[in-house]
Amino acid sequence: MEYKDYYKVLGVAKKASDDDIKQAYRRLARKYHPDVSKERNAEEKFKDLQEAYEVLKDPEKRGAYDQLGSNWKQGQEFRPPPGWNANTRFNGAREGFSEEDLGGFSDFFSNIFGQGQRRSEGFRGFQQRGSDQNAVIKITLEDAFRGSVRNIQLQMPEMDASGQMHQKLRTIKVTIPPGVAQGQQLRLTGQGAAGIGGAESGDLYLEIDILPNHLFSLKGKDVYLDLPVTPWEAALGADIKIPTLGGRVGLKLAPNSQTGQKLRLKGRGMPAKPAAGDQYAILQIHTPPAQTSEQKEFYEKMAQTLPFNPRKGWPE
Amino acid sequence: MEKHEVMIVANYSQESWLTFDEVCRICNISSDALHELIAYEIIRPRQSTQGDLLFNLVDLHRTKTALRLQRDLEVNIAGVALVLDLLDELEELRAEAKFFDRG
Repeated sequence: MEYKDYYKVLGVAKKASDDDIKQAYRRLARKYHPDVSKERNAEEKFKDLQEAYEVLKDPEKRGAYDQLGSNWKQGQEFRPPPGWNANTRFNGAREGFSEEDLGGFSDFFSNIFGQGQRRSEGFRGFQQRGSDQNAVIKITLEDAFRGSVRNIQLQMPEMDASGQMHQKLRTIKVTIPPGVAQGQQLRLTGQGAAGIGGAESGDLYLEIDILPNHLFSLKGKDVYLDLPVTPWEAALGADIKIPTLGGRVGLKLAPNSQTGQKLRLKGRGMPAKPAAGDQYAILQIHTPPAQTSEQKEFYEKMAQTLPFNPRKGWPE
Repeated sequence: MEKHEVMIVANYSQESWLTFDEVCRICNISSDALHELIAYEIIRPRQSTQGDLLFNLVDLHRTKTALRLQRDLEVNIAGVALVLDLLDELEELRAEAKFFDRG
């Protein structure tokens, strides 16, 4: 197992005072708390922080940790000293911690300070509800619109009769109805980690993540599409076939339309109750480039025939 | 080390409502603590026709987040309500920004 340099994790000196340690923890906890942080690996970093603080804030654990000596380097291969018995030295190493969303502490921690879950021999009758598990299902926008059936496979930690942890592969067949929302959750009761000492299992939560689409953007249950049109379509009006998630539909473009106008196709957005969302087409007038002399002349003629100042009202 | 297990079938159409006691049990908190979150409008459960409180998964998620903020960052209950409101706003603004960034 790898040695953990708890002082380094908290960014404090080996002889830091309790107050220094507390302050360093508070500062870093704010920075890396997974609920508020957008830092990369925030979850992992926060877990390391908690583990380091759990040891260094407690004089007894800190003393024992310091006894391991100061020649170890972060990440170095580590074996506990002979005769080191974590479980008799430290009872309730993880008191006050629910494992929820954080997963367990490192092997290093468990070997030095004991692992709460293996206390069952010494603490008969100890019960703890299994932790909840989370998984994300990524689906395309098309699948979110149409509905979909997914088989997902999850590695789930499970404890056998002798108290050993195993990874167990689970297959879950999930039916996703048409119109599922971004972030929507599903709770599978009792499908999380097993409880300890006969306590109930945790739950499994599935969360929908709708992948970005190259054509459509989703805003709530409404779907947005950028609609490029030519200047003559915009000026003269046109019938245009446009894509929607449910297939192509005809759209009537009124004469003298302008860039930025929003055209609504009622009920063509995501299926929902009581009413489906709408699709909006946002007009974008694209002008053809003037390359040949003939094309340039044509634009010059337009300038003469169509006197037009889009910057009217700007200060001179 | 791997065992294959029977397939679980789940359906996203099933709306799940949780009772007051279930939320307490899942989050491992006292009924007083949950009442306090409701009093501070951190969660807003609905009421069934029988007058029981009903919680959805958004309420449950917010409850868990609130407890983590209290435990890990020592934020008090009023502060938790504020942090969650600000996080909601941030989330909305990020979604807006992403939306306008498209194309």
